[in-house]
Amino acid sequence: MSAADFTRILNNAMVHLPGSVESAVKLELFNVMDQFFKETDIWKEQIEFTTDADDTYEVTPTLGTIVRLVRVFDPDTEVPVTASMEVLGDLVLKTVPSNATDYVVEVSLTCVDPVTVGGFPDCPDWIVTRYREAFTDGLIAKMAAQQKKPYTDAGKVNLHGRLFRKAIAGARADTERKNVRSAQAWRFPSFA
Amino acid sequence: MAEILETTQDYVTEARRLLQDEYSGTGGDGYRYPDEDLLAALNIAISRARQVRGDLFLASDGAVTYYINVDTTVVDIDIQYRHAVLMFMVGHAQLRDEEETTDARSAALMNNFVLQLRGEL
Repeated sequence: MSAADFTRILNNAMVHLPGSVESAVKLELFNVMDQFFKETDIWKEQIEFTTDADDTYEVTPTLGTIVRLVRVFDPDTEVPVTASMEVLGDLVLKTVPSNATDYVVEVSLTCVDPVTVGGFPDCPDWIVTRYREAFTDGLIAKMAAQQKKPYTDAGKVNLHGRLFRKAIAGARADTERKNVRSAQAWRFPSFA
Repeated sequence: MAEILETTQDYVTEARRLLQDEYSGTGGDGYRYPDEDLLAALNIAISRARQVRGDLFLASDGAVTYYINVDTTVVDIDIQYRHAVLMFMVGHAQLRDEEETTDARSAALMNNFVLQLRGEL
C-alpha cells in the first residue's frame, strides 16, 4: 500500500473541502475505491486450483473480496472452462473433469475491511498510483454531496462526479486493453 | 507544542475570559460561573456537535466522551471546531442570566456554534 499516494489523494481532496475532517474523508475514500473497483474490474487475481470429484470449489483471494467471476481456464491451453459463481467465493464447474486437473480461476476484486493501520483501503499500489486523480475526483464529489456541511457544494458534485465517471470508463477500457496503447479489446477466441 | 483549546482547563479559562468572570474569592469556588456549570456547558456542546456533525466523532466510532474534571484532560474535538464549542459554552453559561440583552447574546452565541459547524460562518 502506498501511503504517500493516499496522503496525496487526501490532501488534494481536503484542499477542495474546507472544514472536512480526516476520518470522514477516509470513510468516503473507501466508498469511492469500492465503487471504482466494482465498476472497472481493474483489480483481478488469478487463483490456481486442482479439481477432484466435486463440482464446487471455494475460492479465496489473497487480498480484498470477490466482486465477480471473470473466467476459468486451463493454464496449459488457455481453453476456457464453463463455470459460475452464484454465491461469491463458491466456484461451480459445469462439467467435472474425470481426472484431477489444474485450472485457474480469475476473479475481480474490491477492497474490504479491515483497512490498513493508516485507515486506507488495502489494495494494489499500482492502482492507487495510476488512478490517483480519479480517486481524488470521486472523493470530492462524494464529500460535496453530503448535506449541511461546510463543503457541501452541488457544483463540485457535478464537476468532479463527471470527471470520476469519465475516469471509471477510461479505466474499464484500459483493463480491456491490458494497458497497451491502441490495443484492441477484442481478440480471436482461443477455440477458433 | 501546545494547541489552542486543548484541555478542559483551556476551555474553562477561555470561557471565563469571555464571560469576564474574574476570581472574587467569595462563594462556591470564587467564580460567578462555577467549574461544574462550565463543564456541563462543554459536555452539552459536545452532545450538540454530535447531532450537527456526526462525522467529527468517526474516529471514536461515533462514541461521545463526557468530561468530569477541569484539568489537563484533552478534549477530543477537531481543531477547526474548538472555537465553536467555546462559543456554545459561553452562550449556555449566560442562559441563566435574566437580562434581555444577555438572552439575545446567549442565543446568538449558541447559534454561532451551529453555523460554524455547518460552515456557514
